[in-house]
Amino acid sequence: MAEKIQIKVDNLTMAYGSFVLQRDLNFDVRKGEILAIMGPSGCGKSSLLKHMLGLLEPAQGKIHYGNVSFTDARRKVRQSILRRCGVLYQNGALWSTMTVGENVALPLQEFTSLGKDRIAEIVDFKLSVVGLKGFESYFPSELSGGMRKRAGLARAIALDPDILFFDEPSAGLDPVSSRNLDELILETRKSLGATIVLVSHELPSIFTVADRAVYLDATERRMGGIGSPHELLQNPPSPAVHAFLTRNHSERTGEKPSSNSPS
Amino acid sequence: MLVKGRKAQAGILEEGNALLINLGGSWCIGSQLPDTRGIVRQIEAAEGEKEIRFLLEQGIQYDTALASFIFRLARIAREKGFTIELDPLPEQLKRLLELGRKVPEKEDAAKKTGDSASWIAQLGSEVIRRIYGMLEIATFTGEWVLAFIKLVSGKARLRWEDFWHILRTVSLDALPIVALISFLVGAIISFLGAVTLKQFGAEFAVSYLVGYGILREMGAIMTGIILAGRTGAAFAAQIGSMKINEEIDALRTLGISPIEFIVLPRLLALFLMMPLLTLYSNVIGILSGWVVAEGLMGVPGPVFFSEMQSVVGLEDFLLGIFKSFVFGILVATAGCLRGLQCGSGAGAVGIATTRAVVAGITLIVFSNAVIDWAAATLGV
Repeated sequence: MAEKIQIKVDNLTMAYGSFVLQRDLNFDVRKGEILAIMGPSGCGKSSLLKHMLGLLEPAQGKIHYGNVSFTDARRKVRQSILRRCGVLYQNGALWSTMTVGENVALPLQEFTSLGKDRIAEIVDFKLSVVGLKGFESYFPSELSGGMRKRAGLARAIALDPDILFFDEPSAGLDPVSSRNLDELILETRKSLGATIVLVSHELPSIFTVADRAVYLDATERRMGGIGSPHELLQNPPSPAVHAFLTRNHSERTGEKPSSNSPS
Repeated sequence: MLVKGRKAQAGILEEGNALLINLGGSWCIGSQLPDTRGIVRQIEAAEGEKEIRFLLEQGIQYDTALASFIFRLARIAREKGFTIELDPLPEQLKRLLELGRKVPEKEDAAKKTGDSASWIAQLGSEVIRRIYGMLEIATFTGEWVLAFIKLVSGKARLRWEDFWHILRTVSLDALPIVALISFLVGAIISFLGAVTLKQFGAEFAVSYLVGYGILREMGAIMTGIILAGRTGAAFAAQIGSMKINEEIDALRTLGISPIEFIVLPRLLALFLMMPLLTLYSNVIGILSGWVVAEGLMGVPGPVFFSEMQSVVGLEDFLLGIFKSFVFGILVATAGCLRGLQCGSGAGAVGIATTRAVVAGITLIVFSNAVIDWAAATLGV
């Protein structure tokens, strides 16, 4: 295959104690693509993201970044890999004791030798990218949910990462804000050339942004399919994928669900 | 909303194979509902092939209260293999029942309740949990000691803004409460001592009791307990909510150690401020002891203080200060660790806070005993 593989999930089994969340996951994230991890609530989407970031350890299997096994790597190696990643957490996860500006500046202060002026310049620029210029001195608690997410995005792209992770970017946002965020995601990919892994159960956003999608089955506890969202919609590999995609898809296109009963 | 109407009624009649359930009145959530335990018991006790039928009285009013009752009976009927005649029910009621069946039950939902292990297994897992708990404390202590070494050797940075802010809230803001408690403790010791010593005509010796008690024990212990409740709890709550908000994860994925970033400034602040607060508490405690001694027993100030100086030495004072350093570390460790161990959900912060205070106070009492024992052995 011509595409370079950026992340390889190799036979990954995730478990909490004896409860297996997902078993034998196998897929690649290609350089420069936007890969969505989708599935119903409780299927382990966010946990998969946490495994990829080393916040949770696999019960079995490995995760590779390029040629390096992230799972076996020492702390130093892991940190150097993670330094090339940016993460947008579900609620932004801004550090609450710091202002928005300080939040974006912290990665720069920690990992670069840039001077104060330079950092201020970069912070200013990144906040403009997400449309939050002028909010430097606000505290996270003074922002709305959508603004917090955008500030989180500004922090995630502070170091111009190679890989960006998004945990449910549109969760808790109204349709307009969520569409704006989708556009922002596409824009960031275009301008930064970053690979993006995004966890979502909202089909509108998956169909808009994702090149490929991985479906995690919540009852089988296995991967239910991988491919471009449209491909998966046309040739669903399993009934569960079909049900998942059509239910959400109809919401997106405004089609009426098959029956008029509330479901 | 309270629905006015006839009182709800329910009865059961057994006719051959049929169980007839009589329902009438106002079966609404806001109204008084009848006791149906007898009906349920009778159905559960029934044997053989039964058929449950409903007879609804004319003019019955209902909402989901009635639907819930029928829903429950339907479930019992299903478990016992009875048939239940739902078709003749009014449309509206059937639609309400339908609502309860809309979402399929999760197969693993029922498993949760029936899972009770034998007491040996429970004891075993409890012991293992405790051992892991101790290991966690040891690991955590090791981590912050390493972080501290890194800081001293210049490899780690402290966020001074955070540090000053914490320093201030830990010390300055605690002054009133420490003063109040210390004043009371000093007064109580003095009063108790005076009452007892008066019987031997040795009122002047109250100063010995106050000085020795406050400097060696009470000053450090009371300050420690106040800060366990005030600062240890605050640390656990702050860090716990940071954890729930994924702020800790955000630090980790950036490769910033939460220990260096969050724990170290708090530990240092408490380590530095606890002795100062203890000193302050000592002064107030002794002064209030003197006020009570002079006011109640007429022990004059010069006598009080010269008597104190003749028996209470520098080593008593230093022992108290040494304890306060130890207590500071313990309270901060308990607070930060419990915060980092916080589970998910808003209730978890409350649990983390409680555990931090309990651990802090337990550790203070325990370590105080150890230090006193060591001091007695060494003859200090």
